[in-house]
Amino acid sequence: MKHHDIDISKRNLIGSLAKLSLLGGGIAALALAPDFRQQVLDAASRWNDVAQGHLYSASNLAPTFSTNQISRSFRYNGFYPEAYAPEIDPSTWQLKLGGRITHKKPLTLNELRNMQQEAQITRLICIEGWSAIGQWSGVPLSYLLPKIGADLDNTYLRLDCADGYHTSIDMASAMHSQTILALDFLGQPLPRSYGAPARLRIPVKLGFKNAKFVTGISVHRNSQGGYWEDQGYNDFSGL
Amino acid sequence: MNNNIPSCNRPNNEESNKNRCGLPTHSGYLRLLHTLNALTVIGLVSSGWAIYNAAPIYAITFPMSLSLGNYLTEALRWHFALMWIFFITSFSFIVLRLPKSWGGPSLTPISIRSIICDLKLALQFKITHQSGHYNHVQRLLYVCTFILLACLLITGLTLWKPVQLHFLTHIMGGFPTVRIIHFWAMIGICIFTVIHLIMIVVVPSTLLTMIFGGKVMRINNNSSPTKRDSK
Repeated sequence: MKHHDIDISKRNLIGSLAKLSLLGGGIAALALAPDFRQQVLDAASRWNDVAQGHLYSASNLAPTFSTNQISRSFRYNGFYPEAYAPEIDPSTWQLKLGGRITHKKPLTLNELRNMQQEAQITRLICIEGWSAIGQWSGVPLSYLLPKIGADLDNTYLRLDCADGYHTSIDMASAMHSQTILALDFLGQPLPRSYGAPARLRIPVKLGFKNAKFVTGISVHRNSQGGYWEDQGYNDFSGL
Repeated sequence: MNNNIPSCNRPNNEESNKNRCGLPTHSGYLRLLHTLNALTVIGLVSSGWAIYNAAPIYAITFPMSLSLGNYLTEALRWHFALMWIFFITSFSFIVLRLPKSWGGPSLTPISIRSIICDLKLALQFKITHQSGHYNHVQRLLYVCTFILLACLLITGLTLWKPVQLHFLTHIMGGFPTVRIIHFWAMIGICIFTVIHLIMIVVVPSTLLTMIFGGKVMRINNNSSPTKRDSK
């Protein structure tokens, strides 16, 4: 093929057509075969877990803010409307412990409040893109987990919640110095919409990993997935 | 035919292009890189629209029917899969093309005087197109696009890892600001794409050379542009 300003050789033409049909075939397969598409996207998501595990460093701390930077209105977020948020009696609430944990005796709210507490003003970042700065305080998991004799060697923490929600956290992120089982929000006991009486506050993970209304934690060899993770959200979802 | 086709006289210029006579307009690797980059940009922009819709920054939202993935979970999966290809292709594009114009028409030198002159010609539809050669407006457009790609890459990386890369989050003014920059860089790349496609309609032979390759022909002197080139 020859034109006054282009000159395409037969070799180029055949080679390019071959590459184009390969590419077109790949796109057509992704578009027309949903199972194949899901396998490709699953593989990419697993690769993202591996990559994020390598990028994670315990020494990288989430930025902290001053009290005047705290968001004035912190939005409610959940997989159901705010009115359906569970109402839990703090006097009877217990944190159940299970899996690869040596001391499985459930913990009461009083016992947790008498443990070492840590406060933080950090930004919660939702997978949807919005974010808000809040103040939380509670028991650092890096204190709680060794105390209850949790297996910390390459394991996963599973959190179960009163509303049927659950999520999993890799142990390295769970043991991050800023990861806390939060009992207070803005210096007051957690309000009902924000997960009373105890929620996970983990600034190195996306918002949906910060499980509310926590009723039990357990340690496992493998990731236990979660409400959103099982629907396709990335399992690691680190920040 | 008008013998006095206006042109921007550039003495001693474009030596690098003269030496490329007979070479491919775009090398095979460059064309492959362009194809992959173009497809991933389309995928990332359209899946990005669905992600934006989940928490809109402005009063506008994008039609979900045009988004890759159609709903948030699927759009996120696409976005986080394609970003790896985009990362490799955009980084390669910037590193290979910006400093030394590897594998294709030269992007340098650029002068403001020539840009203004070429722009005037372009607006009068008198600009000439020579295969394997960029005028200064094209050079400016492509350099700006590489800067946009770099911007999308860095802001995207920061939105993905705002804690691990907290120094980037910090220097760009915090997470919500990075999100706004990412949004406007996306708008920028969309505007570029529209201009890019209009140019293909104006000079359709460029599409063929970008897909099938082609050789740089003798560069016409400014005094003898061909009929087709002078439209």
